[in-house]
Amino acid sequence: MLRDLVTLTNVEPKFWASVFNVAPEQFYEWMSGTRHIPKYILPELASVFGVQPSDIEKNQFEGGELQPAIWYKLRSIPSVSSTADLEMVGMVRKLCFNFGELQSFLSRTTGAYEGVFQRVRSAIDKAAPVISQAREAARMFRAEMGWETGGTAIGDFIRPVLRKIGIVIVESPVPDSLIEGCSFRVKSTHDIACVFANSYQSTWFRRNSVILHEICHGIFDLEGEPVSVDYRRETSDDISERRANLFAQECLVPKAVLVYLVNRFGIHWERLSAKNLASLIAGSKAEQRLVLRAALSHKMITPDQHDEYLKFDCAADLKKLSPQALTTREFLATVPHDQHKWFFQDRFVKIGGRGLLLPVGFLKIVIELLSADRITIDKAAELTMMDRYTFQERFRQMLPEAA
Amino acid sequence: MGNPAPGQPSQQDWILGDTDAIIQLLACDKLSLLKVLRSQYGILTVIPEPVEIELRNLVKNRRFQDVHQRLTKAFNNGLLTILQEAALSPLVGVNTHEAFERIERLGEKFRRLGVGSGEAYAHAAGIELSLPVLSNDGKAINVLMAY
Repeated sequence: MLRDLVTLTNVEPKFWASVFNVAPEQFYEWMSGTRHIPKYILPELASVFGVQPSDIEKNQFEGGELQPAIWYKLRSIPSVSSTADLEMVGMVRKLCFNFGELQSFLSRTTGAYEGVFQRVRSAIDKAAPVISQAREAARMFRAEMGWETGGTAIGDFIRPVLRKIGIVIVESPVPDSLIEGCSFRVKSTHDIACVFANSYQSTWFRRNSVILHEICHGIFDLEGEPVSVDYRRETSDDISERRANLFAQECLVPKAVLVYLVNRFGIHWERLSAKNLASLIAGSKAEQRLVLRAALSHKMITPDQHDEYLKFDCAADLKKLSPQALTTREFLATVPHDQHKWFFQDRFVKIGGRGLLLPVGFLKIVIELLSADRITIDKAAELTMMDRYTFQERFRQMLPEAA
Repeated sequence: MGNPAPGQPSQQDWILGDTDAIIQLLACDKLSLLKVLRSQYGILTVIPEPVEIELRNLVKNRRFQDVHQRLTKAFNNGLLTILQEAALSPLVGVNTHEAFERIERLGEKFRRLGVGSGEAYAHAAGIELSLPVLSNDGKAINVLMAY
């Protein structure tokens, strides 16, 4: 069965061996059946491949009935044909499995997100116009997350708050992938919801919207679908895509936030400057396109003004107002040199030939648990998909004593 | 370990190894210590399967590339033996399957308590078989003792 699963994923066995921290020869032995697969690794394999642990040990696919829906779907999407996309999904699914284990050490064995998603989903009338669905869903979701506080922008809180309710947010650069964002569920110690945002040639402001777009898919569309995938420059007119776009917009830039910012900065829409627009972007923590789209949908600007302001180059002004607008190099110039490695290099794990940037929050919890003697360095290395020596080298100084 | 009492399963002199301890011996080219244990004291070094998996994977690491051959040699000449159900009879008598299952269950439990796979199964086997564990990371014991 393992061989069939590997074949179905269209990913090289050698890469999978790397994902599961196994020597390639050993993984080949498991595939060929010349050696049995140890029981302890079955849950990881099952979780990443999207089957039951007992299915892995079966001899065959049973007429294709056991084909895992997620890989079947990914293969059937013509644009997700690149190895980069498929490998990225594999790595992120393994990270989600590890996140579930990590949560179990914190005695969090249920995803609070499920209740939130369920409440929002059941309150929305699917027959209503898409804009109404999105607005109501966003209003409810903001309230559930404690984000209903008037004009305060939520950009800084998205990641930690979503993580707290059990959603894994992974932002990592995948240069040769067309995927901009995707979301799916992974079975670990409990069901984990995962959102991936490709950070290659993307901005933090853009990813705020991508993450919330994927959250909307998680609420409405992942009940019957194993995975939701969105591509760069995608212009689908599909209801679920329009709803997700509007949901992201209404979460990030609802009318109250826009009105508050307009008043705070004394904005006159009819004579908006690039500097004004940069203030709105920095204040709302949303990208230029989204801010203007929100202003247009709330009838604060005309379609002509929208098109005109969309051409404004706000980059230089925005950099003065928001550290999130800086390039990596510019950002690093603002922090002490000894912290540089922590921001990128130390969080970067290499799996096969591919890199994955571990979420800061995830890594911090691992280090906290290790420092408190709640887990061992071997466990910390397993969870972060490094070997113990690499982990020790990178984080020695953050631990109370060298382990 | 002494002679077995009449009617009792014969004891075997084993020591269980965890990944880090074995890789350190391999890296320092000090597997001769295990050879001494075997030849002079009749003590066999046994590793649970997760330790074997970790070792075989670690030696792929550039950091340990020199020890790849040493590990293969140690497996081939029996200096390192993988813990298998069938080999448990001298220790547990006829109930090898049950004993092996108990080790697996305890190992899984230890993993869930925050210990790495290799060390979890090494300590689980140590407890179930009443055998010493060769380890250089006391933290695993601290973590397990906390529960």
